[in-house]
Amino acid sequence: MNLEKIRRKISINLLYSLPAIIYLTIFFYIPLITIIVYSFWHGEPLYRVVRTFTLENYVKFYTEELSQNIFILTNLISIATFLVILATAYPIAYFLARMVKGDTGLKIILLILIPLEMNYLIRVFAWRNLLGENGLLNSLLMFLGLVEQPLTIFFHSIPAIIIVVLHNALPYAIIPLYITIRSIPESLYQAAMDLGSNRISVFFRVTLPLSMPGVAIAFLFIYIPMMGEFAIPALVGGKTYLLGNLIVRQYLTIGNWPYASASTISLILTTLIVMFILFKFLGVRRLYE
Amino acid sequence: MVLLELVNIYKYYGKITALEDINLEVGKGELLTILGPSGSGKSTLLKIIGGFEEPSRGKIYINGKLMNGVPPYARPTSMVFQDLALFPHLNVFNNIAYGLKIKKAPSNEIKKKVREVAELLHIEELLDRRVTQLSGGQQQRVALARSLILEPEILLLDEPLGPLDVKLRKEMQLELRRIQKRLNSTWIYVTHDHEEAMVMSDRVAILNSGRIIDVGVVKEIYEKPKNRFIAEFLGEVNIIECIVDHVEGSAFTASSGDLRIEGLTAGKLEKGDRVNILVRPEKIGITVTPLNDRKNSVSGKVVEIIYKGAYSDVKIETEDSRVFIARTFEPAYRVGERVFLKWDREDAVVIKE
Repeated sequence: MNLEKIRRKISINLLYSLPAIIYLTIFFYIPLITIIVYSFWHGEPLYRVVRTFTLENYVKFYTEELSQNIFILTNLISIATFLVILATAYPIAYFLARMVKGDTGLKIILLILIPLEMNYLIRVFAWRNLLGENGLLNSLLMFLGLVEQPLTIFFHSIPAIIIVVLHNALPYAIIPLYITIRSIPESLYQAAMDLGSNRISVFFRVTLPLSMPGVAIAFLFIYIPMMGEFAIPALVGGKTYLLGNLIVRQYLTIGNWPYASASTISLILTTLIVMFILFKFLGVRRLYE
Repeated sequence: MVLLELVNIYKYYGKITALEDINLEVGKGELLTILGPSGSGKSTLLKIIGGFEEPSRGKIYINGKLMNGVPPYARPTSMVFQDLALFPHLNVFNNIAYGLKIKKAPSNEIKKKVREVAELLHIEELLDRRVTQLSGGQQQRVALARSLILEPEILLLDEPLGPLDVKLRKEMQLELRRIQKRLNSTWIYVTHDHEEAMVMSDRVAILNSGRIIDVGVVKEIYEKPKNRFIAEFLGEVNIIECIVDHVEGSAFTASSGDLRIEGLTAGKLEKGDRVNILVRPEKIGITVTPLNDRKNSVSGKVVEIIYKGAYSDVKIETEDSRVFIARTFEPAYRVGERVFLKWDREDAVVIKE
């Protein structure tokens, strides 16, 4: 009887999740498994593949200086981007969560989301017009006589990548930070002040540690897409060549699919490891406990 | 010695008056309870003392020093919050040590003091635990330890026992009282539970609609309430509205319908005054045999027996539809039975209308 009930419950749950399972199988699991399988085959340029098991693609990815450098640079830029975004988003989220009364903060967040409705590539191109050699920024600086020659640091450069990603990804940091800061009960601030903390000490001893889960989520929202980003570096990054560019080039231009697949899997593994560490040590679990 | 003095405190929220003309003195080593129904302004008053809210008007003195405008961290007070407000990211030890760490006390002193206060509250086994792993009662103790370790001049407690079950609540009431006496510290305790107030306090201030309507020793307030609200708020009471017939010294007689009442009063009464006679249920005796003396006595039918374990409340309705409640330890009565009630004139409290 009881067993029958459980069995029925399982079959109902299965029925509900069937569309998702079918969708994920076709569009996620099968491609992912294909990539994994490819990564263990021997490949040559122009799409030639020999179906014999080999680890050479991984060995190449992890030992070649070029891919090592790209891997390190991508990580550094991703982390730097995250830090810039965090420094921008935290004060905004803090202000919306603590200083603004009622649900006004949420309404302002909706306004922050509006730019995201514009196509991603159009936004990147818009930034080209703002930051480029003949763009708004340089025209303005030259008009004001502050510089003689157009500045190049803001175009075809790493700062340009960071500026564009900052604009693209800011809401993804503000929202989790807003939610975690908002969820800290007022009485905790009062208790900290009662026990001798001034406002600065309350921030570092209560607000910041308790908003770490939000920081962790924001990090994942920014770090993971940034690790695979290829359009922004290609369009505004100049000679900057990131992991995403390497993978795209190997798939589409050179045509060494097994090597491209091994790079992809390495990328996924890296992000999984980072995610695991964050969930383990930054108290993300507190969010859903 | 007066430790805390509140002078003409007013608090407005927009057009709403939360507190009105509060004057209160609390002595050193005293446990004062602020008792009142919800929405009476008791938490607001506590927050004003703790520095979380500023009064709209009036002055707060602690040890003779003006405290208006002084932030919570600079006041010699500490608060145990209604929701306890333990820091979820810190373990028990670090929660308790928080205040000392802010003061940058040396770490061996912190360890020693945490251990002492943990022993006082019987939580020395829990110091390594996360606060989220503790039971309600244990969290209570941690919150108390976190405040007590700072040896505040005044400890403020905002209904801290609220979420506990009845048995634990009663145990904690007694334990808190013992700790307060042992430390000889000054506590201000907010509650809406009159029994809790009676068990715990030296004195009680009764707050209603933002005003203090009485302050005094619990026993006196309970037995000689100043008005109907206080009498009714502090537990079951029988109220008889009547008119004074005859006054002779401190004794008087009054009547209400065909009910004859004798009473004693310290105040001045005159023939024709309208008064309320208040008699607590436990002061009323029940008997099934008719009484000779018809004064301070009624007869009626038992309409309900409310069993409360150690005692029972018997509800009696008289022929002229008055309802009385009498308390008895041996409920040997049946519903519908005719009984006689009687009380001594010393036990009736007279309140002039």
